Amino acid sequence: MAATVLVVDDSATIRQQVGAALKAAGFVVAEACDGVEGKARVSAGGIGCVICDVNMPHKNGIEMVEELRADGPGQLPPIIMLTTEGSPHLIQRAKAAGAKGWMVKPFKAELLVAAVRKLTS
Amino acid sequence: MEPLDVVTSTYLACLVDVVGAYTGTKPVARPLSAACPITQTTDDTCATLVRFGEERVWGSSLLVADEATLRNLAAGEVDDLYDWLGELNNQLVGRMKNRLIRSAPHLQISMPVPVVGFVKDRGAAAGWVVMWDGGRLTACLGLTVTPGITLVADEPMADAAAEGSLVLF
Repeated sequence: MAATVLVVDDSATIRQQVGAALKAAGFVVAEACDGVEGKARVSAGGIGCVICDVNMPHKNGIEMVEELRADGPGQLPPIIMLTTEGSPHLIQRAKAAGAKGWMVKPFKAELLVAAVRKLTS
Repeated sequence: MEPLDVVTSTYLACLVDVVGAYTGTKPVARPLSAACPITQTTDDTCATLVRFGEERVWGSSLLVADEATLRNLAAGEVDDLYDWLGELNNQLVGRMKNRLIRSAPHLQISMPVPVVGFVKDRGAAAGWVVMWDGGRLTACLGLTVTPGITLVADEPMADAAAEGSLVLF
């Protein structure tokens, strides 16, 4: 059965573009528009991988990862941050929180799909 | 180079890079005679504003484009053109932030805001129209820099922070 990948981004266009690339590769895609909705969706279970923006309203992506990790290791599926940010400080913070990857927009579909395949296999 | 010129030239380089990343071309950016010639959006145009700032450097990026241009810029389907133009603006200012990170490490970026109706950006310092086969996009930079500070812009990064790169930890 194909893994479900959750795309968390406040931009509907990015969710649409990333979702299209993942669906074309055979994944099931779920969406959330900020860190609050993303955390709730992950906590509900059944998510095999998360693609997550950093700067979002209500709760940013790194805060979401940190809170999911604090809830317990079992709550944390593989997470790739997809963002315009390139700050080494933020990359280190995401890594320390348990994120598995960092991609700077614009995303390359083939790279993202390959990484999701690797993390969900 | 004066700090105002450092930010302006970095913004312009990032503008051309962002459009080039989505079009696969090397677009031409032509300076506008008026810093912000757009006074009112129409049914055929979208405009979005992203603000940025820290203690010593602050300003805004206004992007304006028509529907055909925005659809040509997208790799696939786009349902919400304002959202798409806001995302492009966010990526543009994000790139600028990354290249200025050594000397302006605390630069914050706002969420993109759609601009509908009259465009009044009093702080516009410079404007360009970026042209390629698929369309044209107008960009206006509003900018205030504290006099006397030193700013340094880096070349595009080649590590985990490089645009389009993916690093697995």
